[in-house]
Amino acid sequence: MSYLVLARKWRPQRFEDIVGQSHITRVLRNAISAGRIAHAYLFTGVRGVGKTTAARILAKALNCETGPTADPCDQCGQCVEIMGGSSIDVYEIDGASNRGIDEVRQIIENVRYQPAKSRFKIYIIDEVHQVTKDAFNALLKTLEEPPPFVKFILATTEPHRLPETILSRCQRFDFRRIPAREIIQRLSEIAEKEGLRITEGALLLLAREAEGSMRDGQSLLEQILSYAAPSAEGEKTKVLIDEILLQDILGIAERKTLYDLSAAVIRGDARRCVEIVGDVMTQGRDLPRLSRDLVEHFRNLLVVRLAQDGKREPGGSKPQSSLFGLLLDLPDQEIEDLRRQVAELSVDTLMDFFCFMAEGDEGVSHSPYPRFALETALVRLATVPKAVPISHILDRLEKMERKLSRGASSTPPPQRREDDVAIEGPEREASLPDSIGEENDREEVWKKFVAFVMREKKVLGSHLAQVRPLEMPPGPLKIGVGERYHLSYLQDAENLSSLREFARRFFSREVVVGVTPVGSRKPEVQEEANEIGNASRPINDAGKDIVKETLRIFGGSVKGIKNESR
Amino acid sequence: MPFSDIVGHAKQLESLRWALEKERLHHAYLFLGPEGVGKKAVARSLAMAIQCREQDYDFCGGCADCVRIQSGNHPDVRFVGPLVGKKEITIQQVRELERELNYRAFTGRKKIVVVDPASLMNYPAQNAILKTLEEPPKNSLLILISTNTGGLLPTLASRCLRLSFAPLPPEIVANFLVTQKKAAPEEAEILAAVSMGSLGKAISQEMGELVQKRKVWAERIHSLTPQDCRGWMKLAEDLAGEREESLKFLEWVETWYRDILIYCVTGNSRGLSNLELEENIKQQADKNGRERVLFLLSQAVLTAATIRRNVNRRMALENFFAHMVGVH
Repeated sequence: MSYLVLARKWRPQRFEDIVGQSHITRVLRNAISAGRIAHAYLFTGVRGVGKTTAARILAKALNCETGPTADPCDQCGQCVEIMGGSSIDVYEIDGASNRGIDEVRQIIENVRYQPAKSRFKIYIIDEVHQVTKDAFNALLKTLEEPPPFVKFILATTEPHRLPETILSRCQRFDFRRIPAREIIQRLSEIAEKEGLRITEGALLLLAREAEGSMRDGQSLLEQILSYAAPSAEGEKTKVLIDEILLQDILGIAERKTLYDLSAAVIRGDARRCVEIVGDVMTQGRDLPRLSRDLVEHFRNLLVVRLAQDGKREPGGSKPQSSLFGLLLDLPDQEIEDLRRQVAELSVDTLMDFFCFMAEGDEGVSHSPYPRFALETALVRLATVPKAVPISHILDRLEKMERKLSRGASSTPPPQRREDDVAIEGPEREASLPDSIGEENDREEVWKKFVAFVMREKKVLGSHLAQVRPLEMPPGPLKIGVGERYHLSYLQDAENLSSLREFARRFFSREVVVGVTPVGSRKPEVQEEANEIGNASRPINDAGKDIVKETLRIFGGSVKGIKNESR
Repeated sequence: MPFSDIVGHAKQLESLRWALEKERLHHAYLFLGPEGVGKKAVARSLAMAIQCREQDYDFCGGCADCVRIQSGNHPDVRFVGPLVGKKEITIQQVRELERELNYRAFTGRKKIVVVDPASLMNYPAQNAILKTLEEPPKNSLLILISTNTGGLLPTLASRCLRLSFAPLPPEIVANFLVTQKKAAPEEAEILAAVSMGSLGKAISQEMGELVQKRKVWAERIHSLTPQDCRGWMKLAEDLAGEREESLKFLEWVETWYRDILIYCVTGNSRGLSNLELEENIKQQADKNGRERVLFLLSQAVLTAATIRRNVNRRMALENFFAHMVGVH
């Protein structure tokens, strides 16, 4: 007898051994003892939660010589044959390999005949979602009214792929993901019997990795077993498996790495992110796994943050915290750590992190270079500007409204500035110019102003980055614009007024803002800046080249230049 | 040529050997790891170790069984990949291998099937193999090989024992090139960096060509200016000629921009994959900011995706270069 893997060796043989699906096993047991057995069942649920197992036990229960009974004896010829997969009246069909109409016709053909020696003829069709549409349709009549001695059990992970007409003819049971603590319990039983010494913490980690699927958990246990290498059957392993060793075996990055990485992202420290990824890589850890863990980590951060918001609401703390326990399958210590990490972040920023990371993870799992994809995703995350919560903006708007209603003629009182500072924190303080108006600082101030606008309204900011100031406060702010594209944008009444508002907030005084078109010739300084700096800026010479090229290709000449303006 | 001759992966081999000796081999393995680190070599070695007549729990590489496995002619060891001219592994192939697994092994040992790359099995094929993976006929061993789990059904991955293969450290690759392939040390270092821990890539002919090519590419890109629209149009035209060529170029551009990004961020050249283009990378990093490199990187990925979807290659590339030089 060759070696059987854990998942097969420990496949439950009785209804009460099926873990975490009591809502289904109870119904089935009662149905059997009451003699109300449906002729077609549909078992659905994610991988490794007990669908096929339940189907086999049901077959045993129905055909057991002492039955039909909810507790098959496992002793009689029928039970033994079904367990060995050799019963001639229990057909276990692989729906994914035998998916065509011809195979189904064969079933229909055979359904008519009496069972050879058992009470029922049982068809278990596994992976039934792969059966073709025609084949399903051929099965419909049989599934609706099979002969009294025929039972169908369909099992699938993807019930949404089945036609409605099939679904309505079956009694459907949805198998749940198995809760972590039940997986832990079962795995520790198995580990005990296999002679594996393993700590509680390591089991918890295993259960988390299994994601509610018992088979995944058992496969992982198998992997550990082949690492720990017990010297003989029934003997204890020499090594005690603890969390750290387990991480090493499974190639999972440590929890600490997750915290380091997310902390670096929150600080905006892209360099540290790249370094950590490099380290993880040299340790031979699984990068796609790390990326997935990061998505989960940011999700957890978001949940913790939302729960904090909920707690602040009066009376809402009790249901919130219980919900919270369900949403986070983590030890208290870790939740505390998470709390510390989100302390200063807004929900919007966390949303951004979560979305970008989820997007990045998609790339990582499909990329031929997972490392590059992960690095890029993290650098992008670290560069994301922190989102300003919409509530702050609304607050600000309200204040503005109040001010306006009080009378627009009064000069802006000084406390407005303080308000702003209170909202923005020290960042804004730093961006305020110390001595406004000094000629040699003009360039500096302008840059800071553009950066300020960029933070507030990105589109406007990027337009401003392309133009130059002619005059700066004190006095009016005059902007010279060469390109027609920028000109039309900036001259738009709405944009102009928001620009005015920004200018007033930035220079903390009323500023007259003027936009004047200037000749498209740019000052020398800018040409220089163009060469070193942003290459995305269109250059007029290029335009000339294109004109020349056009003339050359079409053999035309320039008759005149019309300047279209609004 | 025993297990000990395989470069790297000591831990994985150790666990396989132990399983062999204790007869506790899982019936289905999933080997995960970047291309060319030796997953297939390990799978082949495992097959040889099972079938070899000369040695127990190891292989000699010289006996009839070993030789036949190496040449892909062994009756009990089957390598399944996409058929010639096809891009996928089909359900027919899966059915065939299922039928074959049901026969008794020729040598009386195990029937072994290696599916490489498993992610190329199409959706029906992956579903069809599920039942076999869970409870295969007695004495069979399935080994699935894939670079990532992205293209695999979760139900499929859950039925296998996973073994992850890490990229080899560059020193080991370089050392191997110098000792086994008689490469010059400097060349070996560059090749090791290019291949990013993949020995298979490092010794392939293509890699040497790629190193030459990317030097040319980098120079041509470097000489592009926004004024000279004919220059980048010409480059796009040259690259658009062959689909494979344009995709290879874009793949390289991705690694190149990634290097620039890393340089932008860390300020040193540790861990760059385009080691010989260091100067060029520094210049590009200074010229473009971090934001812009990120933007261009995503453009490169997007362009490659559109070309895979059979968009006009020349236009896609022209558009990309337009972004690159900053006309947009």
